[in-house]
Amino acid sequence: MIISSLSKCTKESTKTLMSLLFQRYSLISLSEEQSIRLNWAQPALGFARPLQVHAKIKWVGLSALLGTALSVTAAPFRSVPTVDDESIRTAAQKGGRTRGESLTEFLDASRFPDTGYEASLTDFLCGKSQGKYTDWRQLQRYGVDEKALPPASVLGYHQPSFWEAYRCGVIAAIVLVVLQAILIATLLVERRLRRRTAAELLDSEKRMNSAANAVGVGMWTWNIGRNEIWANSQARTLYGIGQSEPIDFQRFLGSIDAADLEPAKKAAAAALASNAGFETQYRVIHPDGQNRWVSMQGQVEADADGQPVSVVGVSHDITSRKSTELAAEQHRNEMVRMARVGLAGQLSGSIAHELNQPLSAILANALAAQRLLAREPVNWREIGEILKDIVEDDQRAVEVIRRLRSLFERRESLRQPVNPNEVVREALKLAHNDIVAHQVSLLMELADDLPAVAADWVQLQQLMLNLIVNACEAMAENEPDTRTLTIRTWTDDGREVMTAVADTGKGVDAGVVERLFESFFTTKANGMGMGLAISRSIVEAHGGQLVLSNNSERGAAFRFSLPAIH
Amino acid sequence: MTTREPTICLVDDEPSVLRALDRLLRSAGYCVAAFACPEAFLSGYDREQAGCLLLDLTMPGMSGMDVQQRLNEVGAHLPIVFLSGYGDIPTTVRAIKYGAVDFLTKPVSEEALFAAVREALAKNAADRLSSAERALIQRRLASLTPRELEVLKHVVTGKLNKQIAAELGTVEKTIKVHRARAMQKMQAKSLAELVRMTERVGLGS
Repeated sequence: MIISSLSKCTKESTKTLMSLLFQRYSLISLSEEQSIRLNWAQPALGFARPLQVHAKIKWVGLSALLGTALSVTAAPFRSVPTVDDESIRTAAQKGGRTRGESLTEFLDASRFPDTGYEASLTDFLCGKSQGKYTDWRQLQRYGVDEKALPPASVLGYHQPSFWEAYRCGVIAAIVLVVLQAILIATLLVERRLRRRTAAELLDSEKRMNSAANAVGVGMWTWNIGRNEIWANSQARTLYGIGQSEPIDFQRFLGSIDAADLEPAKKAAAAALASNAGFETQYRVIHPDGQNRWVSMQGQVEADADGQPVSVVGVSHDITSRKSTELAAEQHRNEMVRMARVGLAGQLSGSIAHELNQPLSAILANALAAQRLLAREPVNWREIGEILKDIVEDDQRAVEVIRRLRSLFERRESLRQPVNPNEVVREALKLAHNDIVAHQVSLLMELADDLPAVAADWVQLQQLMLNLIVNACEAMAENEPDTRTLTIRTWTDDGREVMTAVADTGKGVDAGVVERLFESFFTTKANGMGMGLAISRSIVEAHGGQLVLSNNSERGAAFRFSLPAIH
Repeated sequence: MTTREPTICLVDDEPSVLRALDRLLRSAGYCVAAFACPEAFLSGYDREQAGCLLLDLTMPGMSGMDVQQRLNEVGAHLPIVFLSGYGDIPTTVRAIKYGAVDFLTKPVSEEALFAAVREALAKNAADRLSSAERALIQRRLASLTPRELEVLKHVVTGKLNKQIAAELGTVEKTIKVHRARAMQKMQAKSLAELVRMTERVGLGS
């Protein structure tokens, strides 16, 4: 009965243990989604790694335990040697009992020498032991303690107690059960921990989801190996993808507007190549035709070999921000244009004069032609020359008008490869008369091997004109023959084109320099104060810098850089 | 080359304007010498030549005003007509004060141009005439002996022969003789004329 209950106990404990182990390790068969989500939350929780280590130890311990248990239970039960009637009789016969002597008397005889307690019955019965023989049943009947027996006694008819009979087995079973109990306890604790972790995870995920929903942020994870993208409901709405539609990389690309597809792909490829984070902006097209601007930030996760395993990130809707930016850019363009118109106004005297020259020539030529026609004979050759000159002068006037018109027109900012030297020369043509009227002498040092820059022609010209007019005004109070305007272009390393416009005026106060670039700040009596602010914003919009500093000799110089095209 | 014909000197840095004005003036029958830059003009023009100067105001380097100043410095008698695309009042006033005949703005009309040219040439002729006259008077004066000259100086102050004789310490007769010879050499028909002549050359004051 005890055996059966013990064995039942063992069986039960083993069963519990196995089921717990199965539960524990059936984590392996969790849905991918759950494991992905665990993965996603991994950095936040940091539980997964330690659990894995414990698992290994448990496996080793468990197998050792089972091995021991099995070996122990397989060993034969050992017991105290027992004696039964038959063997006594046989032994007595062998030992030479005389007829008529009772067995007890025979066995009780002190004929056998004492050879020690450990003598086996067979030895004894063969006459090697000196111990006394006692009937165990009698001991029990009379309640005599075994311990009262003299040494080297042999107990006959000894029924071994349960304990004595199955000692090793019992010990083994108990040890097995205890160890299993310990293991079960550990696994139970771990299960509770795990359940709590899972609950916390779920909680955290719920919190994150509600936060994301409140802000309108879409979260997504792209498992590269299985080409699957998990996206939360916000992300799905954002990209115009159905709530239960499976998403792979192609589907994701399909939601991007064709115009922005290439840059987005490039950004993703670059991030995958370097296992880095990335950020990109693009438009998405919904199936119903809606167009939204989206900003996407992601982080690539790699395995131990550095291979990208997954990409995790967020996307959010920046349509309103983008439209604000575009409106701001339009305003900026308008301001630049207005400044340009103002500049054209400033140059109007020069421009009028420049128109005047061809017009005067045309008039004089025509008058001369009239007189020549009145003579006899008519000098047709000279009249031919007159007409040729008239045509040329008219074309010159047309050029002046064209240059002027480009300053006034309203247009989109257009980036093209531009030769900076050409801009300088054209600007000088527009400002020619201004320069002459101010009695300024011009020194030009334009480098021959300048690379092209990506720039808006008209804006660059506006910039140069502003600086030239500024320089002429700075020298207005000089002696007439000390007014020199120097324009220099050069490049140090082929990556940037530098331009300098220097005058020989009275220079600038160091304290006022930065203020000059502020909007609406001017040191001139009738200035508006926008010219330099706009000039700087033009240079910065092209990726360069505009600075003003005093020359080592007289005057000051504006220097600006523009990045070259390569 | 000095010719009888008065020559209009033309200076403008704008080649097309220079050519056109050249043609126009020549078609009206004038002789023209065109110069593309002020330096060429100053070194190349003929001082003895009668005529006038048509001068552009705004030129790089030496401007029209600078040329006017130079001519004044050397005492040339070439009347100047300024031609300019700009026409602010201070510049105009300064030009006239320094002796310009007129100030025209481009594009210039036929009437204005020819009127100014005529005026300038007339002035030039008058100037030349008066300077020729002065030269003649100077020559005549130079032909006087020192004594005759001295007597002349006293005569034009209106003194009587008697008084002059007393002052110079000679006899009235001698004075009369000197006076007659001086009048003859000076080719003056009356005392008034003599006085006018001497005034012309700034003699005696």
